[in-house]
Amino acid sequence: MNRVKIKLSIINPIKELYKLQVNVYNIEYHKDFTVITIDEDDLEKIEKLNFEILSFRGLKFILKKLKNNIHFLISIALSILIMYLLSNVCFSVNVIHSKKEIRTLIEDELYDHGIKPFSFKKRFKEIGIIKETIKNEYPNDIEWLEIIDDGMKYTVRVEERIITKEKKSSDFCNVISTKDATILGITSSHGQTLLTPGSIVKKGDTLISGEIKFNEEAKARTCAEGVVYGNTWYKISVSIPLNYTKKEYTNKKKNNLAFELGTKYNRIFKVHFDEYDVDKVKIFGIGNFALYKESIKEYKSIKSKYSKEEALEEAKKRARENLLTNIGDKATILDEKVLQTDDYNSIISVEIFYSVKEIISKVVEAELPTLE
Amino acid sequence: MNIRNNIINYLYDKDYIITMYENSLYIFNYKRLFDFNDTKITVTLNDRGISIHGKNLSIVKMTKDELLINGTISKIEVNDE
Repeated sequence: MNRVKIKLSIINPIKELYKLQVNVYNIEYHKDFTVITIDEDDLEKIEKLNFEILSFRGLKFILKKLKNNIHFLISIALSILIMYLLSNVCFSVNVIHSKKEIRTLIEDELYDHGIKPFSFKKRFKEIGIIKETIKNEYPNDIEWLEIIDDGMKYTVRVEERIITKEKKSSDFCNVISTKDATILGITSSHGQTLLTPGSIVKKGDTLISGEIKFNEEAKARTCAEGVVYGNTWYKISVSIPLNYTKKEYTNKKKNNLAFELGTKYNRIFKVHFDEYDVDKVKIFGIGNFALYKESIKEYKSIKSKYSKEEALEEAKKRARENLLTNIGDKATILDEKVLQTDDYNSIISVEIFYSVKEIISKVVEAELPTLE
Repeated sequence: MNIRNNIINYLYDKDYIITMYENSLYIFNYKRLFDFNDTKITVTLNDRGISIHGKNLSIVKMTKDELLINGTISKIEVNDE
């Protein structure tokens, strides 16, 4: 039932209203008028009284309020809808693995199971089922799979199953030298050792033979196995400019936001530093659009000059790094000697000799001697 | 028969109720509003009449069955007719 709030110019209308049998739900007495709340249907009964409608109550009141605030209500409803969509829609799927084949495999499988960009997120239980299904489908490829609901995207971590293939044992093979060297030590598990420590070998010489001989007669053939350490030599040349520029950070830092749209990268706030380093972290990404948080550190370039001793030390450091990068970390530098130093036009050129202990052995299949 | 009467009583309540609050008086199932001014209100119930005496008496709700009176109530007289 709709009710209506009206203003009567009569100061005390009770007698009139009682006579007219009007239900009055609330009466407010004022100095010159009275405000009453009655049923909307009773308005006809008080036609003769001088009244003014102030407002409606009940359904009509609610409808009128809704009509007056329709834009506000629609925007609220839209906001709720957008919030719901943003929190329940996956905008990207990021599979983390170094191998492209594994990434493609997982992305395809997730796509087939409905985990794809611009789709509704799955429930926790469904994600568990999908994980198990993919793992069961590829038991030889996937060791472990984790799908993480990461806000507006899914981050998928996957571990490849590596099945170690049994080492194919060849019937007849030798261990040969890969470099010219002086042998420092031999550890052999199969085959006949042909040399002793201190022997000088050339690249390609057989170190451990797969042919077992006794009294110059071949008695058996096996696949030779073993590790041979040799002393090898290297000459490394390094050139270093004596003048160099170094960065000195000023402790001035600034945070910034940047967005990437396709190939274009734009900063939201301008950076006023002349020279700076930037560390950026991706905070949001949809399709070709990505938002980054940047941490910018200012530095000053300071021109400096090495002394001869410093330049030599720097050259030795770089030469050592180059050498170990080429021959591997397992090698050990036994000796280091500066052979030549040239200082010309503010550039120091250094030639350094290195004596290194490293593995020089390699197993190769041997050819069976042809029968005469 | 008792159940029937109870159901009828529940659905069609003929009994009157008078409830007194701090500065108001609620009357349910009154018959007629007899007399009304700011010091005295007379109402008839089923078989009797009551007069409410006080100061600044005012009716704040008045429907077919209910009456709510506000004001400083000093005395309530019950008159058997």
